[in-house]
Amino acid sequence: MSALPAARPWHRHEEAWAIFIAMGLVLWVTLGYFLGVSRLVEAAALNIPTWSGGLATATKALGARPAAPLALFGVFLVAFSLASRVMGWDVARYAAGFALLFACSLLVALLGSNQTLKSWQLETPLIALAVGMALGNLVALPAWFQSALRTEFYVKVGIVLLGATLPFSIILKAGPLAIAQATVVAVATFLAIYLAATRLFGLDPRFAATLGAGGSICGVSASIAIGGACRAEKSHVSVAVSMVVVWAIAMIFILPVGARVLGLSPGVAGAWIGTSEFADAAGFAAASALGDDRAVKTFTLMKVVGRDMFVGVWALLVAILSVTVWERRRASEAERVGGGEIWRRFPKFVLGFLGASMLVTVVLASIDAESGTRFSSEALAPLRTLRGWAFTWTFLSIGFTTRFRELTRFGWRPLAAFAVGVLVNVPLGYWLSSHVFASYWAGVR
Amino acid sequence: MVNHVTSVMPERSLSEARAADLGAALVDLGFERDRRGRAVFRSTTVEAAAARAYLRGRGFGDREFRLVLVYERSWGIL
Repeated sequence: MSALPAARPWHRHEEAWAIFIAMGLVLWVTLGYFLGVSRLVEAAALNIPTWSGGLATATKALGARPAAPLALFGVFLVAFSLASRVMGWDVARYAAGFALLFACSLLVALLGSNQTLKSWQLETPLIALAVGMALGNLVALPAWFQSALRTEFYVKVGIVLLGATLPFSIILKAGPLAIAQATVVAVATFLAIYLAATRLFGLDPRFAATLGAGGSICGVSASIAIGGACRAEKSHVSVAVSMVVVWAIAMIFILPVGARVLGLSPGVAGAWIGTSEFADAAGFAAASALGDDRAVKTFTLMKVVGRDMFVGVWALLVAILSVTVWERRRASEAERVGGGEIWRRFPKFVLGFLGASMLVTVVLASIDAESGTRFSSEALAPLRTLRGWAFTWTFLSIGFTTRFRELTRFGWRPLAAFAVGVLVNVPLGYWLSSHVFASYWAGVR
Repeated sequence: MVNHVTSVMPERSLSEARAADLGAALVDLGFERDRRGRAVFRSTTVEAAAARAYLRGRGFGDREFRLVLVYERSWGIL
């Protein structure tokens, strides 16, 4: 008999709470601005200035605003604890774990603000990953700390907050272009992996589709969505997830170095990472490692608008293919597949991302230019800082939860099939970003 | 890496007796009936392909039920 979890209502899902928290912060900074109490918001926006010299200089930089770390911690602790309570997590354990994660994030942010480390291109994301991976693989982490390592939760909070700093007009303008670029790469990569897996390596078509989805659409989310839609075996979905994680981690280091070596502008580099990275959280780490907000923006436009949004449509197509072609059944006899498949597999946080963008765009459109400039510096700048912290917790969580020993349980055939996809995806993404659509991506501010 | 929930719902067009037979077959396989709303049978141990093969073996056609398989990341998966 299965230990069956009750089907949870929508408001008890991590995704819903990522939207609530991020939208709550957007409303908080907006109200703070209009009520003339922006300082309350700024109090929690902890920025660590670039420093050089001894550690004393660094702590002095922190000491200039001693309440800021406490305010930042307090705001997120309250929000995350409330979310934990509703979602049924152990609040005390989560809060204790988050306190330690927060302390780690202060440490890596301090290191990431060091002038010397910056000059070696060691930005906060890479330091967070390295620290997390070293500790996560060498030290047995206590269970209470592990309960706070919620990569997907933090990255979704960060993505929705990012929406607030991206004008909706940019999303509308970039949307068709991002969708076109993403579709070309996704279709080519999916077919490459699928055909290599089925024709060259003799893998089951459902397994091949799950691998192909992970390598082409949106990483782990796509593998589990498509694996579910085509009823792939659990062991096959696990292998596909391992493949995505292994390549996504490798690409966090390879793509930013590649972008620098190839001399790409931040906007183009971000679009390339958005096209060729395999997972959202890993992609944000790679784009943030470039140290330029334009790279994060174009990455998001490519990944969230161009790729993530369409996983539901892919799921529907693959589900139909599964119950007819792969089951060798006539359409009239095959299991029914409803359009509800699209909504079921749709990543709901995208709605939060679009909603935050629309809200801020409407606010900016309803005030004059001078007020708009003040709104940007007093409301949106603190929001950008809060987003940075959400991503730092994401990168630390990736590092702490990546267990290399667990990622090596797969055969050579899925590895080879996925590698074929990488060989298509990375150069094609580079060519489209840096040649075909380069002028647009380079111009995003 | 992943956890799964397999859900099976009798098609609305099924007669009550046929839907009851389907539900009984699923319970025999280890599925549990969701207590709320329309008849939905779920399992976190039986995989979708196994459930379908079993139902076919018990004489149910693919058009008599709807099968939904949802995978979720295990803890710590990127």
